[in-house]
Amino acid sequence: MKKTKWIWAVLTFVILTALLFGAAQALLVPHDRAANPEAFLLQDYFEADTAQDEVVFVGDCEVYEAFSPVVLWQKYGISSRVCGTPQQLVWHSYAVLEEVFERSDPKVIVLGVYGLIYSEPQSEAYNRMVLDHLPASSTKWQVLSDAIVEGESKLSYAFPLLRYHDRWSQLSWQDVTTLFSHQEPVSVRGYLVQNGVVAGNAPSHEGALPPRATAFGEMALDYFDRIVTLCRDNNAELVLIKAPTDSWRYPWHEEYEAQVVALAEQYGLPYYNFLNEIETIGLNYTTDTYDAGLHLNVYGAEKLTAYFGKILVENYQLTDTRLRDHDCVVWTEDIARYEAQKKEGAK
Amino acid sequence: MSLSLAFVLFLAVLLPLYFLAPRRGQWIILLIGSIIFYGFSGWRNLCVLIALTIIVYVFGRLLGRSLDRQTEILKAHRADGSWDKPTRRAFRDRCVARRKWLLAAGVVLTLSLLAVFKYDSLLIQTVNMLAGTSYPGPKLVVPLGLSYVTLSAISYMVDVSRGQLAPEKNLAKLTLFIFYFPQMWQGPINRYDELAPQLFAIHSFDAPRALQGALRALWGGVKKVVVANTVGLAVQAVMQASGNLGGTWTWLMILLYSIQIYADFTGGMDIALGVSHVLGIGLYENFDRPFGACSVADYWRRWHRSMGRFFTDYVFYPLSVSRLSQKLSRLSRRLPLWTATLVTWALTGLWHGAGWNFVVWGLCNGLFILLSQELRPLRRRFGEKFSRVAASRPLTWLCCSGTLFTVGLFRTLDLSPDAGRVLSLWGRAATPSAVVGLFDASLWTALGLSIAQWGLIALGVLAMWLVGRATPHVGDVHTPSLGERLARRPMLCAVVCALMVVAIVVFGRYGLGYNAMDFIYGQF
Repeated sequence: MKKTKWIWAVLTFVILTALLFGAAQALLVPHDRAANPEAFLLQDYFEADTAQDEVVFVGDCEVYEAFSPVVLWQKYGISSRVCGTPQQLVWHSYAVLEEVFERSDPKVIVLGVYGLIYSEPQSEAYNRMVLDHLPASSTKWQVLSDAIVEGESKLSYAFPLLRYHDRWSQLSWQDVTTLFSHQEPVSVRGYLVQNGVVAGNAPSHEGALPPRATAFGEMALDYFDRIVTLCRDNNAELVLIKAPTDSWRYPWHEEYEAQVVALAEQYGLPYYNFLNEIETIGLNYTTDTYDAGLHLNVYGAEKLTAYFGKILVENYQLTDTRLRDHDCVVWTEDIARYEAQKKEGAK
Repeated sequence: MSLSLAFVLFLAVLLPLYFLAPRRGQWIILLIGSIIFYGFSGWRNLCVLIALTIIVYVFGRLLGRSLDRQTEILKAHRADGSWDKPTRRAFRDRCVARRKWLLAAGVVLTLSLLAVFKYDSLLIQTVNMLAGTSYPGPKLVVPLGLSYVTLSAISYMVDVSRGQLAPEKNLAKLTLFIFYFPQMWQGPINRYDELAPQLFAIHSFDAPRALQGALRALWGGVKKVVVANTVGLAVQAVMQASGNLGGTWTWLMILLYSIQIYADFTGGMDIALGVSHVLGIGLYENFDRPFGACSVADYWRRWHRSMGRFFTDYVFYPLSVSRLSQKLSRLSRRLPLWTATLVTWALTGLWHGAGWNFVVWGLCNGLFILLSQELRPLRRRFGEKFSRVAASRPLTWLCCSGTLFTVGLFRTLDLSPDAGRVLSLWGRAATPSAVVGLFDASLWTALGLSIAQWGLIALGVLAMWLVGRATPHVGDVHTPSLGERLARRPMLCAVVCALMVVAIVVFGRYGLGYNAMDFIYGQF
């Protein structure tokens, strides 16, 4: 048999396999943003033009539910973006920041400190909400090694089909239509609008947390150190914050607080614990939370953002981008979506 | 290494090295590759297999030397005429007796490794049962492929002691015979005289052969990862719900477990034979269209043929002609056959698993085969009287279905160590409510599989049946296999391969919390 025939056969196999694999991956990897908005927060970031961002927030749900970039811009002209994801741990934040500095030149990085209390990988689902969206890089590969939980395959982060292939039996027509339709961002610059109001009175659930006396883990501290270095190398100020929660469920123990204060001192970083500023901010846990005190709703977030924006403009030399025509055009669209979501709730 | 992706990477490195290596060094590459492959299963397992290899090598050499010495001395005495015939016979008998002892020692040592790792729990469980004690005992994991390799090792020693095989003098070559990686998951049980010449021959890359091998391996992957693992979910669900299902449990298990074990075992075997075929090494065909068997005995000639051949040649025949059989034949002409058959099947059961339920399973098969043999004259008379009916297709179908049902029924004994409970469920399966229960739609939805998954299983069964029908019988050299026919059209082959790869990736069950390549027969 002719050699060329075999070469063509091999080429056909490779190309056809790649095409079918690609098509299956596009269809089976979850892509309906409305079905699970939290999973697409970072995708919003990577699809946006982020070059003008001067303030970037990283951290877990306490961050992406607490700071509204729209309010920061409207009140102070600060161009900001939230790169938070559910249970974003320190190593996740580090990987995200590497990408942030690749795409923009922010002056201030705001890091939520809650992730510091975890020193072990926690959950595949939350890993995926960050790492599935990050482009391939040596940092991603390195963080993957530390972040994956037992039984997870690193390769499935390069080829998510290997993880999501099981969805073939649950496919719906919606999966096909959303594949070919344009989908709106789920957030407004990373802030996920929640307009519900549910007052806090649920019972304590401390069992899910590491013991209060636990010292921050080696891995968490190592990645924290890397974040500090990364920010310094990129001439960005790192600001530590603890978002306010009505902390009956995931309490912020004084042992945690002491360690963060010590870290801030050690690295010479500003640290704001908004739990101590509840009254000054004007937060009211009967109206400013959508899930009984665990997270702020849009009304609480607006209050906190207004308060924190003042701190930012007073302490850092940030540009008031409201004066730039180009920025106004960009923001008009975001503000319109923000107002709509505030009225109707997040899509 | 049992993980599919690691195995693919392993092959991606091994195959080019194997075909690019200097011709005489090919088997050394294969040896190193096989040891590395086995090494991935753990250093303890590696030590066990090395120990087994050394035992087999030493006893093989001792047996061979004993045979050589006997031949030399007899030749010398025959030449000088110093020994008369009775003296020569006495000497030969002494040598044979010595070799028997040597062989027994070698077999016992080889089996003791298997006993330590596989039968420790059975031994302790039995002691506890008899003595009313409750020793926990160690829970040792059977090294990968040890059950299969042990039988290959025994066949090697027996063949050497019989003079049918020259003992291998090169330890490295014997090591390759023991460690050859495609046989490690679940066999087949190879014989040295069949495998060794191929292992040490020179093989150059042959594209059509490689394509045939790849097709077969991929088809095996589809059967294992897609069909067997998906049905496995339902089997697991039925196992967990066994208390609520009553006699319906038996019907479900006959159906589902039969599909699972067929797809699992033949799939694994297709992967092993396909990979080996790419290397140019043909392994023993372990299946010969078992679903076409018209009796249980016929079924066992078609299913796991290498195991059947081992137990026939090394247990059944020696038992049948043993002195014990001769003594028993004085009591009844059929008694030696019954004894040899039941002992062989009890041992077959014991080899399958370390539990008395497996012995019961073996005895059930043995008894059924014996009973059908006893009824053979009746069948013959029926055939003579109603020749048209006997040769009709519906009756053949009925026989085949009945065989599959019977084997499937016996196989349910694999599933629970409590053989008594399974046997009682057999009884309850005969009730009308148990049969009616099968047609309850809620039962099928409660098994945790979606309609799409049931559809996939049905499609898989249909595809297995069609491919099975298109596969020629073992030994039929005139009909080309499906792989051979496809390999003549490389473009079509490329498309089929691509479809199978994507089918495995998309429809396969693997990933988090799931070892896709854990074979059922690998646990035996």
